[in-house]
Amino acid sequence: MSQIWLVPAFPLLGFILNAFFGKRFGTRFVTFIGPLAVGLAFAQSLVLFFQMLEIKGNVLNEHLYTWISSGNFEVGINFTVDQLSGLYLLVITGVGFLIHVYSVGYMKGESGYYRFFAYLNLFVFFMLLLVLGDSFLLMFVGWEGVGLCSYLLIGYYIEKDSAAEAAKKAFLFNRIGDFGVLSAVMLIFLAFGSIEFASVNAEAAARLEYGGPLVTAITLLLFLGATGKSAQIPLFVWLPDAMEGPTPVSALIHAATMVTAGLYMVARLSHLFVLAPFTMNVIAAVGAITALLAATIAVTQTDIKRVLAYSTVSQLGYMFLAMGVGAFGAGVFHVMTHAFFKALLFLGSGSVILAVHHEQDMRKMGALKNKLPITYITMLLGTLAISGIPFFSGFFSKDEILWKAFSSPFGSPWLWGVGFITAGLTAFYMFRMIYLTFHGESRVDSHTAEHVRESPFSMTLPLMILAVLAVISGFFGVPHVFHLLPNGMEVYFHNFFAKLPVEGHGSVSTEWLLMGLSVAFALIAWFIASRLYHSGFAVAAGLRRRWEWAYQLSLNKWYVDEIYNAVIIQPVRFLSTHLLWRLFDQNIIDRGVNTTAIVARAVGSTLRPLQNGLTQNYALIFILGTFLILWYVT
Amino acid sequence: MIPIEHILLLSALLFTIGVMGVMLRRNVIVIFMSIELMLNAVNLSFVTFARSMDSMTGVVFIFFIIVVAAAEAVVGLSIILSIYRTRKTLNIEEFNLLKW
Amino acid sequence: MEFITLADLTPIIPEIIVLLTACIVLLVDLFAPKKERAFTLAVTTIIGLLLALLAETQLHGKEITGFYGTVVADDFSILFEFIYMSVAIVTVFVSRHYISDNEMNFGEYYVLLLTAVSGMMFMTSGLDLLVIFIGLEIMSISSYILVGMKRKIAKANEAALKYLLLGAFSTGFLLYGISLLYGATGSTLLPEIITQIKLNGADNPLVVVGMALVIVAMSFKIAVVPFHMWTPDVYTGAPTPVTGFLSGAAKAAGFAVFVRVLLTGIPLDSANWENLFWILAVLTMTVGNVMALRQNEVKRMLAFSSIAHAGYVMVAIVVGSTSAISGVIFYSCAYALMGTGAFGILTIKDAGRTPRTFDDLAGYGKRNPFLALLMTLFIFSLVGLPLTGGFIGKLQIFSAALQDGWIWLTIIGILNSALSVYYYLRVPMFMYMREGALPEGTDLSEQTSGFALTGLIGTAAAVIYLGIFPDRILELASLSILALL
Repeated sequence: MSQIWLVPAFPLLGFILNAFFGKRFGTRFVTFIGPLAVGLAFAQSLVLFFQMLEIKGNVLNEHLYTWISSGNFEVGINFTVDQLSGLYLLVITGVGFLIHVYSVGYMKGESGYYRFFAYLNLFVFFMLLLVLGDSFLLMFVGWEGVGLCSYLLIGYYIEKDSAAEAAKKAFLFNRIGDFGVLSAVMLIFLAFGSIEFASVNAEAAARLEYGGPLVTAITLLLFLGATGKSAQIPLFVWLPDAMEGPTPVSALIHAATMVTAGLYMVARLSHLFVLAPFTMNVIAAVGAITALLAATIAVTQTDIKRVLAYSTVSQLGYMFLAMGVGAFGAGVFHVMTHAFFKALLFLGSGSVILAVHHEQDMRKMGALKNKLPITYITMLLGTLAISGIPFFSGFFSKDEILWKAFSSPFGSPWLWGVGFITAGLTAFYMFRMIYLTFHGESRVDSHTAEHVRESPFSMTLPLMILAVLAVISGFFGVPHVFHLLPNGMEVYFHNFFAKLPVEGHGSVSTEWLLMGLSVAFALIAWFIASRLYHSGFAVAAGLRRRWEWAYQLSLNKWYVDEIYNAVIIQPVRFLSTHLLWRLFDQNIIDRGVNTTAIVARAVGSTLRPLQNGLTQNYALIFILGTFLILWYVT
Repeated sequence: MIPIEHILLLSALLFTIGVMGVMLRRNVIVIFMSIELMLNAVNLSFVTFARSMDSMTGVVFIFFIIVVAAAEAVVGLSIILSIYRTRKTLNIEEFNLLKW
Repeated sequence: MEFITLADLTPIIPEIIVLLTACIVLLVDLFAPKKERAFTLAVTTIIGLLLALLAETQLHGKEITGFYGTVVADDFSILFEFIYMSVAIVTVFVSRHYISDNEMNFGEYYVLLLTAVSGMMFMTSGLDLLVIFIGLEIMSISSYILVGMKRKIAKANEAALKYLLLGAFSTGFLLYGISLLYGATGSTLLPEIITQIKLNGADNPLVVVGMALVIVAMSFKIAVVPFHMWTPDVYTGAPTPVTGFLSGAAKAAGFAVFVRVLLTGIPLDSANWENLFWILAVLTMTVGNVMALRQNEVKRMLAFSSIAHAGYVMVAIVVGSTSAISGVIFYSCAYALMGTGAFGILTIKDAGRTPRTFDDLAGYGKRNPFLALLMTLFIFSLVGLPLTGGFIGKLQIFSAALQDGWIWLTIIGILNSALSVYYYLRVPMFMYMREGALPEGTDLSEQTSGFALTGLIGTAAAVIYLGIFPDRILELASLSILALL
């Protein structure tokens, strides 16, 4: 017996207990229940994971119950643990558990403590549904559920207007994506007569023409949904604003788990996506461009969480680049390593923010490394990982992606080039963050400076565990060229993802060369960052004056918000007020509504006098009805 | 012996008279009596069939109809009594507070 | 000829328990100390109903007949009897404070509720038109009184009078129809009637007219247009818990008899009949919805919409396939719960009065956030949104209709449910979006009674259960129909 249902059941129970009894039983109860629920889910996930590895075919299925069955139409509620969802399970519950523990310290004394843990438990529940479901039905329930929780948690600080605005923005952009997913699901149902992943993957090649319009439409619509959830161009602008939520939320939802749901969907349906080469190219291009764009924006941000947010967008871009070139395994590998080091970085930034009394501006930090030693060391390790410094986790996963971007049949040197530049930029802005926060002279205001001290153990422990994972998790997928270990990732995902129609090319020496180049570039970027920001902004200011236009471009996020406003929102508003309202509302809709109203009213007016309250009138209608029926049937 | 068609016709006639009474009379009590007439018309029809087929079912049925009619009369009259108390009238055309 | 033995009582044990409970409630009413009387009465009633439910579970799957085959306890009747008793239990829960607020706090209220339930149960288990008739009358007479329980309120009196006159009027038609069928076939036992009709053909005018009259009378009970005219007036005038009870249980009982008579009694194979039901279904849906559009009183709106719901069930009866008829059972169950729930919310005092018009609901969401949430759930279910019982019910009925090729009927049905969104959503809209202007000095400190809340939460949970785990009920329903055929 595998008992998969227990995994989501624990967080759900935690949610119920926290939501309904948390207020009454107080903080200690919530502190106990919240992390415990996710911890138990993690324990059960571990058990399932190893069961899944042992079993032949590496799939655990559990039929929970049949929701509807009428005739040949049957919708079941089933859970599946396979290589993909097993890995996701571990990441969600493992990182989730650590972040719950961290939140105990971080959220201490906040009003609505129980509410926070209730939402967080609920989020984990929905996220687990998303990855465990064996069909689009459950996945979509989870998909909407995590969106809801994300919305609630971004707007957690209700009293802040910006939080409310950010929540609304996230909500709107996600709706656009949902529209894509729903339409795609409908098309899939029409094409396959089923919405189960297993049958869609198995029959995709048989039912759909390679590169045909239908499969292209389906996959593009799905990808639209993925861009919404995973913050890619064109729907990425909500994620940086989502940083209005509490920092643990940013770590869990907006870095480690929820935003990778879009990738999960693409990976889950790899057999469908490889049939649409056009979509694959679009995914790779969007991923690469997003990665580069977000990295250039991150370079000038001064808010520590925003740097990390753009870095998340950029790293997600990497993952989509991997998916787009058909390197699904590499993409998922990066999902995992990224979950570790990005959660670590966010939690570390939270520790910093808490230490300097909820200040997020790096211009008011600096020289914190002696005061926050644990935070400093763990964040430094995270930075080394994300920058792709050799033998840290990010190095292996990123290198795998870059190599595939170069060598895969869907790849090209251009994609590699974009990824390569992004890698350098990543190292640059990450070390910039480290130097500005921890090195140089203190710009913390003197009053606050006296109170700066290291965070409590409940916060530093998750940091340390994540730091260890961020360092070592890369050895799970060491590339072949090292001849050190077998590539664990490839063994693990053996035969799981769709095979590409053509084999990749590229020689070992090229791989070494490219790897060397990107490592060198990262090291150079580190060096430049250390020169520029070693002692605050002074050195960089000179550079900034020379490149004012570029600086402004980056600082203002390439004016994407403004462009959206000018290109989409204003025209839509113009159209809706002037054209649509005049034409549509006033003429068509108003008339349509009026016509409906007139018809309904006319029908109503004819019927109303009949309902005049006179019993004998009712009897008369009864008799007339009887006569009509008698006349009709005889 | 009277042919059964005649008795059935009489029963149908009685039923119709009852229906017309329900539709045309103004006094609630008279309307109620007309309904009783309808039920008795049915009784007549039942007893005719029972007699012609020499079956007891119809006769048993009549007993139940009589009992039910009696129960209905009790409830009906008490409802009529209570509406008379609130409205001081028994004219059915004035009972139209509930409409539309 | 064998005589009736004790074993004949087996299929009607639940009915007997309900009737015994009624007697006990009368005694409790006499002897219980005044202070705890109201509570004791309600609890006794609930315990009696629960015992009867238990008895039903013991009868499940056995199909026992008794009294010369005139009553039967088959799965079909057991399923429906579950519905009546659940509705009755919810009604008791929401009644307690309502009846003491409205000066109708008599033990008789519970007695009549119980006898009405027993009547419905007899109707459903009856295989003989005589038993069905008696059950129908027990139910009707009890509910005439229930409707008029608020003796000093003119509207309640009027509702009771209208219900009584029209109900008795339709009884006349039912009996006349039965007598004609009896004349044509020599029996009132449904299985025998069907054998006779099959032997001699259905062309006999006695059969046709008799059948038509029986159908007319049944249509009256389930408020099929044009025999629906009493519904809005009676539902509006009746005490609100009683309205919920009537719309939930009494209608379900009507459907049960309708299905049983049509399926086991009279072969409905001629195209004429099919067309007739088609027209009735479309009329019922449309008139119910169109009239509901214009109402200002929430209760009256729900009353008209209940007609529309009867129309959806009629669609399933027209289709008549196994999955459609299990749709009838499921929909009756879902509607019974969501309807009783929605009416139940209206029994609870808010700002010193029970909400009557839409305007009374303005600001409700702020004053009673939890009740507003429950009401929204019931309304969503009535609309037929996913994850509620109402959605599955509609899905089941309309997909069954499509499967059998009733395309136009399905389209009309779906258009009608779309129309219903308009007036249903006014309820949450008023509750959440409108600010309520309350008269000065309104007492807002009033606590909702835990008793009523328990019942409503249970109902809401059941509505969600039906939406998430519908399969078990659907399976039971289709099994019970296969046994019926």
